[in-house]
Amino acid sequence: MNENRRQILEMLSTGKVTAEEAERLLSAVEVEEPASGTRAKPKYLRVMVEADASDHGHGATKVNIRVPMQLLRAGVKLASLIPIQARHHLNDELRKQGLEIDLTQIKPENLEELIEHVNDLTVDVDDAKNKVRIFCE
Amino acid sequence: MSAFSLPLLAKIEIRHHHHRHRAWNLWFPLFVLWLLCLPIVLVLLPIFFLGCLVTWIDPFRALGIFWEILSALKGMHFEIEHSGNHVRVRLQ
Repeated sequence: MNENRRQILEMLSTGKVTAEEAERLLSAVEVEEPASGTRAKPKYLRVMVEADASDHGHGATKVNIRVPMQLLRAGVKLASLIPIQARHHLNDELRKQGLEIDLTQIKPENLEELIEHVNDLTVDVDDAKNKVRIFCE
Repeated sequence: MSAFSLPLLAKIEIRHHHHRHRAWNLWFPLFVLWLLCLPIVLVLLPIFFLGCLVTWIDPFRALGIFWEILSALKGMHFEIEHSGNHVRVRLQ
């Protein structure tokens, strides 16, 4: 057992982290371990949302989603099947909504490059009541 | 090849806020669902090929991508907790 795993398990046993957090940390360590020399590609995209709706008479809401990167790759490939005219229509509609995204430029080979760089990306949105965290693992 | 195999099992865990320490664990065999879908897919296949022909889409490439999407669902995990009620679904 290496030092990282031991630390995580100790944190779990002392109650510093929950079982779910420990699981997430262990899976992050597993991703890092084979990559001592080279960086491992992320396998999953994790989206965590915590919203406090106590003002509306509800308790806190937590959402935790793990999406395999392979699904994103397949989704981009599916988008590449959309006929070019339809993609131009979609681009126009997105532009009307204020989104300057060119769908014709989203290609599987570009996605690989994006995924390589997204490994370092962590999005944290934190306000008084809501918390959103997006990262790769 | 294992990377392109369909998810065979969905593990569903449900916990009600009245019974925090008792969870309902359901194991849903997805392979039964795939087997049930197979005849429907076979019936719809000629219509699918016709549609691809009309829209100039390579039907074999499209089928490959659909297969890839279904395969990529393996490892998907989502968990929702609201007012003490908890639902977790894992595809394996």
